[in-house]
Formats: sequence, structure tokens, C-alpha cells
Amino acid sequence: MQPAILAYCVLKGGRAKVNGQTYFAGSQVVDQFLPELYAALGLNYPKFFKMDNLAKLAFLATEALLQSVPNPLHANDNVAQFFMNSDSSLDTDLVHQAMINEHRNVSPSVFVYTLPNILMGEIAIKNKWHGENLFILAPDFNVIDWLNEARLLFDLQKATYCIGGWVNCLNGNYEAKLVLAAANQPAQITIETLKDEFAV
Amino acid sequence: MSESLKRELKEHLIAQLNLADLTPEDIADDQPLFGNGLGLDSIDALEIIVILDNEYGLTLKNPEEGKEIFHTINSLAAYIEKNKA
Amino acid sequence: MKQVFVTGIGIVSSLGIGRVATFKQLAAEESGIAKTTLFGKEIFVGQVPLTNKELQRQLAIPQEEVVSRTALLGLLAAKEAWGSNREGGLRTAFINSSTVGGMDLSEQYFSSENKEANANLFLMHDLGTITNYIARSVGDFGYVSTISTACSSAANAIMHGGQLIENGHFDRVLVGGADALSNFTIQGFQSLMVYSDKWCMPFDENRTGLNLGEGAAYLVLESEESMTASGNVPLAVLGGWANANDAYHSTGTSPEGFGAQKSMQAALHKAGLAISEIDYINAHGTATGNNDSSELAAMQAVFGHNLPLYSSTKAFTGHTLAPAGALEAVFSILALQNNLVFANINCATPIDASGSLVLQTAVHETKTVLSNSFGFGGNCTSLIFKQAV
Repeated sequence: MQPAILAYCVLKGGRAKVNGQTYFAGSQVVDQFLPELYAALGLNYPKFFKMDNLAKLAFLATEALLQSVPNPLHANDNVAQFFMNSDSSLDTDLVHQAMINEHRNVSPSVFVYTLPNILMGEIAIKNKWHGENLFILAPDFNVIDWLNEARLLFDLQKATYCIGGWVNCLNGNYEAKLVLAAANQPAQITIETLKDEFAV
Repeated sequence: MSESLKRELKEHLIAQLNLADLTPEDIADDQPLFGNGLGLDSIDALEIIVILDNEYGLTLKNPEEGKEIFHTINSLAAYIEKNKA
Repeated sequence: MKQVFVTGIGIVSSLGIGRVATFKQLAAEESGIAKTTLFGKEIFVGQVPLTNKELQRQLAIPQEEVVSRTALLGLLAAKEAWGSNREGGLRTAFINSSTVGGMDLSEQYFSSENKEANANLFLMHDLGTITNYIARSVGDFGYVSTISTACSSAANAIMHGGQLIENGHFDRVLVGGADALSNFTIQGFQSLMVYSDKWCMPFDENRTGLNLGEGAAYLVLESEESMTASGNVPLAVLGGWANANDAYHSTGTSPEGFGAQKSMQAALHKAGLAISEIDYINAHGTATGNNDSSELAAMQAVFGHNLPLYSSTKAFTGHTLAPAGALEAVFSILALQNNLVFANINCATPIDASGSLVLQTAVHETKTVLSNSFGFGGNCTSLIFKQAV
């Protein structure tokens, strides 16, 4: 059965768009955009500031999605996470490597983020999600592939919601394209709309 | 105990542990840093070990030792003053 | 829903090259971990006993070709697993996994004198590049994917491949992972203060952390119809699988091992097995203070007081990171094939007094094995293998 798309968002170029509407517009510079969006979302979660930019990006995109739907799925064990990107954790890998190059003590909190799936851990902790979580590396994002995986999870009855998508961040260039999909619910967004919005 | 050392420590913690909302005035000298106090966790404890090495030349081999030393700013400052080369 | 069979296994680790050499070491309780000087420091580590030159020679790769050690280890193990499989009109996929990727080469760039001349060291950096390199060299795959979920990566690759077959999307899938040792990861784990300065002691009261290792392992998974076409014989059945998130901390596991409980329970449910039907658990057992106590608590919560026989094999190989779940899948299958349970070596004072911890490799009727792999980010995966009837 085709997954029903409940909501989607795009974080790119200083903008946060949710379901096609601009939710927030701020600085294009990632180090400013992320805390600005955090404030715009009205969040009170100090752990956010310990995350690296990739995790912050995914975290905020997820929050934006959840704030746009009637049921924010807190502590729901039927939510699966599925994220993809092409740059892995390279943004933070470079920070860690720089410390090694300079013969400095490496930072444990930096090293933690040299794995791309940590962002799913952060999202799981915030939302108390114990469901399945998968991270795949791919050269680019094909939302149909993402939806196919969501469908597989639903068909195998491993989840009734799937959240995730594409989240890439490297050297100040950032992009998040996230989807919240559900099994056995009426779709709020068409696949065509999603393809169009994500193609930009 | 040196007030400037305690203030310096607070500044290091805020910077290195990404305690974005806080200023040194927000951290009391005798406030528990871990658990419900400042809410620091095990990774923060490891970062404090790095701060001790980077800023004060002190190496802590065993993170378990850290539990006592990192209890508050007071205990951290006391440790540094006692052991600093 | 189609049943999933394992028809090929390949493995490379500090225990040696190939499944035969590996089994010999396991059965003889001979560890591959040694105290070595690596990147200027003395550490206990599980190295594959071949240099890159030797690996390239064995793989008939020209010496002048600059190839990441992760790719070399992966290719060697993948070729062993793939064996003489042909295209044969079967819908075939490859699900690879890694965390280090080509970091072993990239990091050499930074310490090289002439950086301009060494820029090519970055060409194999990407995990995807490593995957494509192995894929091209092994066979024709209609779908190729790379999973990266820390220490559960290869276990997830196996699960993912199993699902593709169960759901009829593919007939045959090569699944597994590879990671070489790198200064990047050694320094990282040392900064987390979980790297022991002694040979690691899984499930021991006096354990002081892990030793890292390197390696690669792959399985070939097929449906029954695929086996009829390929002529391959089943070595084992992939009977169950599950993944869950601990949702507690980015590196630490919850004291009760909640994520691990979930993945084990869901895998049992998937396999349609009662807890009494598990004969042996190959634990994640990294020998860190946190993991082993959490994992034991989780096993006790799921299995009650009658724990099945269990052991960690990480004192044999070290913790190989991404491929760990595939290496241990191979060990699980070797256990099934030989009716053995492998020893949890280098444990003098078990934290668990129940007697279920296997202290010496022993003959034991082993029909089903549960294998755990838990990664940073709370990523918990459990796999269940059964004897092929």
C-alpha cells in the first residue's frame, strides 16, 4: 500500500518551508540559521547546542514537521526513522581530523558526531522513539526510493509512521528535505507535489 | 580559593560544553554540575578531562576519579589548585 | 513472505583469511588481538595479518593502484562469500556497510610531506565509492546500497537484505560490511576513554574497555526459488531480525538496555520463536563497562533467569565497528554448522554468576543463534540464524 504523505519540509538557503509555505526566513549562513530556526520553533532543549550542524539540521527539520501535524507522535513506538545523505558526517569528520593534524587532544563530543546516524539517536532521545532507524549513503535524493522504503516498513508491519528523508551539511552548505509518511491514513500531500517541491 | 580561577572555569565550561544559554553568573560555585544540577552528562565529563589537560596541564586517566572532582566548580577549582604544576 | 537462506559466507579478520582459518582459530580459542605499535602508540588491536601489498597481490590488483584497505578487506571477504555465483537471470542486490570507508588513505594525506602529489588519497574516501569498488569487482548488481549506522551497520545490511528477499523485491543479496583500522577512530575511542590499555575482557568484572579490530564479512542471502536457479545450497536460515533505538544517549546505553530488549524481543517475534528455543547468543559484548552491563540486563529481561548460553567473541577479533555484525553472523553460522558454542575468552571473573556465559568452546546442540550488534546513536539490531534443515 502506498504510504500516505502527511507533511514535508525543506530547509535550504536560509528558509524553512513546511508543506510549501515559508515557515521561517533567516540567515543563509548555517551557523546563524540553525539557532535562529531553533528560536523560531519556540524550542527549549539545551542539548540542541551540543549537536553538530548535521544533527541540528535534521533535528530542527523533524521538529518543524511534527509541529505541523495534529499528532506530534511523542513516545510513539510505531515511528521509524529513515535518513539518507551523500556527505555522511564529513562536516564534523573534518573538525576531528583538524585536531589530529594539529596534534591537539581530540574532543570526545566532536568524535561522537563523526557518525551520520547519531542524528537519528538525537531525534529518538527527544521524541522517545524506540522504533527502527536506518541511515543510508546515496549520491542524491530520490524521494520515490525513500517512499519505497517507508512502504516496505509498513508492509512488514514494522512501523505505522516513517519520518526522515535527505539531510546534508558540509562546509556551510546545507539542505534538508524531510517527509512524514503514514500507513492506513488519508494522504494530505500528493507524491507529485512532493516531487516538484524536492526537485528545486 | 581563587575567584578568577572559578570564573575562568565557568567560561571554559560554557564554551567547551556548548552551554549556550548560560553566563558565568548563572553557575553557582557549589551547584552540582551533573545530574539535575547543570545537567551535564558523561561526554561532558570527558570534555572536562580535556579542558584540565589543555588549560591546566593535568591528566586524569580514569573517568571514575572525575566523579568526585567534577562535583561542583568548587571541587574542580580545588583539584586544579592542589595539582597544578 | 519468502524464507531467507544463507548460501555463502566470507570473512577476513585478525583471526585470519577465510572461513576455514577463522573457524580453526575460534575452535582453538586463539585470539587475533595483539599489542602493537600503531600510529606511534602501543595499543591492543586486532589487525588482519596481511599488508595492503599482500592483499592486493592476493586480489590480483596491480601494486601501483592506490586502494583503501577497507575496500581490500571487503573485496577479499565478498569474493569468498560470492564464490562462483553467476548472474543467472536472478535479481541481485548488494548492501554494503562501513564507517571508516577510505579514511585509512585520506588520513595519510594530512601527514604527508607533499600534499599536492597525494591528493589522490581522497579518491576512495566516500563509503559509496568503497561499495561501488567492491560491487564492480564482484558481480552484476541491480541495486547497490551503503548503510552507515555505526557498530550495527553490517547487521542492518543483513536485515535489510533479508527484507528485500522476504518481500520478493530481489532473489539474491550480498550483504555485509568492512572497516580498516585508522588513526581517526583509534584517537576517537581513546578520547571517549573506552579503549582498554589491556587485552579486552568482555563480561568480566574487571573489564576496562574495548580493543578495536578491523575486518570484513559478507553473506549471500537467497530465496528458495533463487537457490533452485543458482544451484547453491543453504548453509543456514536467516530466521529473524529487528532494529530498535535505545533513545537514551548518543554513546551510552540505558542501564536496563531498553533498545537491546526491544530488538531481541522483536527478532524473536519475527522468527516465531519462544525464548527457550534460542540455543546460543553471540553478544555484542565490547567489554566496555557500559555495554556489557546493559546487554546482560537486557538479556536477563528478555530471557529471564534461564539465560541461553552466550558469549562475546570480541576478545578474539577486537571490535571491528561496522562489519562486527557480519563477522558475528558468520560466527553464528559456524556455530550452527558445527554444533558448537564459542568461548568468551579472557574472562576470569564473570559479572554474571548464572553459568550461562560460555567460558570454553564446547560441543552443544546449536539449532538457533541470536546475534546482537549495538551502535552509537542507540542503534540496536538483533539477528536470528537457524540451522538449514
